[in-house]
Amino acid sequence: MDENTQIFVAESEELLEDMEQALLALENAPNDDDLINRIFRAAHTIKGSAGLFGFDSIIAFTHVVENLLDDIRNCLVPISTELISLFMRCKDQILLMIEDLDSDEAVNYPEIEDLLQLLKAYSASSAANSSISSESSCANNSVNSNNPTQQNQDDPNSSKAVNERDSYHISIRLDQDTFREGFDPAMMFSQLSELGQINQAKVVLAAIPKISMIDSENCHLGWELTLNSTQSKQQIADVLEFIDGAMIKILPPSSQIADYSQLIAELPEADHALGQILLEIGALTQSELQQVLNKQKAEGGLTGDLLISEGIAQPQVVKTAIKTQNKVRKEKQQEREFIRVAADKLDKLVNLVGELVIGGAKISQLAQNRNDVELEESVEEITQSLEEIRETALGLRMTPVANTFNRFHRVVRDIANDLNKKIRLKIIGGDTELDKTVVDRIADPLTHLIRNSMDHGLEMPQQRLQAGKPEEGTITLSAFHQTGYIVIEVKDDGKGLDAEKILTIAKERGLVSENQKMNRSDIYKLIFEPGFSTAKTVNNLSGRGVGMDVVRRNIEALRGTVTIFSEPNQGSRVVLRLPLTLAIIDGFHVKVANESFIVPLDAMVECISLNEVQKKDALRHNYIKLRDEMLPLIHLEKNWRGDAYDQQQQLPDRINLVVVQFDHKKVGLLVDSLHGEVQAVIKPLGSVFNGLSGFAGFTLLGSGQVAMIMDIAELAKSVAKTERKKQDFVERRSRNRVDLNEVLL
Amino acid sequence: MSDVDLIELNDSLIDSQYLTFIISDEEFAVPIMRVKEIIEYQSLTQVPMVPKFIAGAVNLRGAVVPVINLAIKFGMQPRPVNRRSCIVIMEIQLADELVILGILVDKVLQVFDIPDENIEAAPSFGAQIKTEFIQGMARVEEQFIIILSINNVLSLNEISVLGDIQDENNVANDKSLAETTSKNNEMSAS
Repeated sequence: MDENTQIFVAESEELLEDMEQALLALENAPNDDDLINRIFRAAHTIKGSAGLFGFDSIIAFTHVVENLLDDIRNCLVPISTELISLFMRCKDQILLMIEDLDSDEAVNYPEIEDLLQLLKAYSASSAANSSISSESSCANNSVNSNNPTQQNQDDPNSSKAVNERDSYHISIRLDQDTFREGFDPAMMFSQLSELGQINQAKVVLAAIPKISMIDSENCHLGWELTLNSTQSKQQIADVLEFIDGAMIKILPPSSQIADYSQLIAELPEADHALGQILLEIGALTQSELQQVLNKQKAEGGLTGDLLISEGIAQPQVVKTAIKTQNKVRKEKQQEREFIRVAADKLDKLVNLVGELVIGGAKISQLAQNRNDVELEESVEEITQSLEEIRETALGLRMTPVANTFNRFHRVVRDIANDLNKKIRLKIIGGDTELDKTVVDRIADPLTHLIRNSMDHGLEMPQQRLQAGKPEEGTITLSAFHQTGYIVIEVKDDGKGLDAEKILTIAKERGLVSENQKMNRSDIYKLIFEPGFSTAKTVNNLSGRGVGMDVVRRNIEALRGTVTIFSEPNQGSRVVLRLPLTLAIIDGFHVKVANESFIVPLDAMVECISLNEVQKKDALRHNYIKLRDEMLPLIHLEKNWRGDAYDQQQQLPDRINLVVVQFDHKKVGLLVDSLHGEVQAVIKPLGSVFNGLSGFAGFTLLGSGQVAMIMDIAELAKSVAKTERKKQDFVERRSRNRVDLNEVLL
Repeated sequence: MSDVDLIELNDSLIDSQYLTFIISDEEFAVPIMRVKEIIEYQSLTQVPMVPKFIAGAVNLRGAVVPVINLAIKFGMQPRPVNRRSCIVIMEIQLADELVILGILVDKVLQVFDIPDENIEAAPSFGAQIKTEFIQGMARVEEQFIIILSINNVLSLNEISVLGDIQDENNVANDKSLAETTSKNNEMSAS
């Protein structure tokens, strides 16, 4: 997929996301014009951009969707739940088509015919409605409804010009950068001709500079054209909307001379030349043009007031028009507050900033050595700014979880309909920020959790009423920060987990032994075991027995934890605790054999110094007794150096032990020295070290030294494996001896 | 002469340029196009449980770069680090990505031009190192310099750490190293 297509896909996905949000909101506020417009705009922009790339199947389908949306906008089709569901399916279909763009094979969509038929059925009903509906019945048309009255008033004055001005007059001046943005003006014409017939078109070339000044990549084109069309002005404007930076004026049929007068004043070309063009395409008659030009001259081009002075528009109308214009402009500006940046650029920036910080630390060290107070002070200032830059750079990867959370409105709505349950989704803390990679990777586990809550947790409305709960069940999805972590909770007010049932099933499946006694929270943990599912029937939502297992593994892969709480009849609560970012790890700096290593802080339990008895134990076996428990040890240096490490080497007076935990098992790591907590930026192992187990990556310390970040679980595994091998070897050798003896005897 | 010709000429000029350096008293050359930069020796972070010829990793302006000890890889006696020791940073095509690697050298000599006609094919035996590691033998003032086929020497198969296999390799490497060292010692003793 080339770069432009990627941008198209990303943008369309965003638009579809917005479309879905608007559709969901529309369900509660069916008369909200803004929402309908948002949906329409999304469909329209996708169609427009798809046109630029020639994705014909997307254009064809979106076009039909757009038509029906337009009918809704014009109040020809009433909004209903079924209709919203239909549009949801259409949205899914468009998304599917867009996602399939990068596959080379032609994909067949069996759904599409079905959808098109449904859409057309609605459109047909709109045609029937249109004959009945009067324009005044729809709030949308209030702007247009001014027209007929105006027309009536003004008809006598302009009767001679009426014939020529049955059509729209459109003035287009393209922006210089139009070509650079990949826009093809021919597109615009083909779209306009879909709306009606272009009668006259005249190219305006006045903007073309002298040949010596021409930049062949600039666009200097403009058109004056007349369009015969029965569509509303808004529809025509929509077609032209996505031409960035272009100046576009549309005069509806039967516009006043004054309108043209204003048009001439507003367009950049010389009044007279423009007038000539208007004359040529029949927008104005000779006498009218004279009238306009005279007026223009007399009033010195005070066009803004021209409209009012002519008594065409009331001051009130102009004011509201200006207000809406400002509003639109503001929204545009808000849109521009976001810039799409490639993720690798951010990574590079973070890398460079990391280098800066290290460099700054070196300079500050040098400055201190010099005893130059002024130098030290200015270095201090720089160091502070550097720290701030670092924070900001790392913050660039953070996005609000709302992006992911809002997706679940749809999930909840669809599943609730399927299950015939009444369910409301409540979102708390959507603006909590989290690393983009983490945000993307929690979507799947959250979907599982929410589905589980809806399917197994929440009861049918009847049961809920019997239990004295409100008919409508609530799922609360919340997020908040907690000391370097983000906590995400999925809570429902359903029947809660059935500990008895879970235990019975776990025994059936052999997950626990028959007589095992367990407390409730341990029983709840069982649902995270692979192959555990309480649902008797497998339906398409949940019950395949993979869900919770997958959830746990996904979350653990993100270095997070899952905990489950439940009260019978009160509901259950699943708590996910995740690190804010995957790029940085809170670690503990230790040294082994003079090399620096980072132990992930979340795996650490405590640091202890061994007493005499423990020292002896540590020397003799690979375990010690710690507070009445046996603690296996990993002698890191011995392990890594293998036989090169001298067994007889005198252990130092003070032996430091870092106790770490993984999979509920505790292990002690023997290290040389402890150097405190650090925040380590994780750098991948790279292709050379990729197969190295026991390490999660590299990091750079404040001194610029490279240190390795341990992966405790993997480390323990690899140590166990090496030990096993050694034991096997010893065993084999002992057997060989025996055999040899037998032979000798 | 047109610009195009000039560029081609320059390219072929650079193509025939080589950087020479010394590892364990032996002189080697690599094509200059592969060399990104040369940095002074700095203490390396040793990586546990990897083959011995991986000397460690070094921080190159924020990137962690693996450093290879070719002396060990070629079974030669490594020399202690001295003040002329350097790390030659090279760009290597590994599988389908460009990887930055460092090689430890005792001394960097010079960059000079070796015309193609002065380069002979690798001998099938007689050189200290595997034939596939040799791109050619350059004749320079009555002596031969080994031009390393750097892509073969530092190919992924040769240097990557492959999980389980690595343990055994490690043992094997240790053994062969021990043998060569002991042999070397014997030779020097006699």
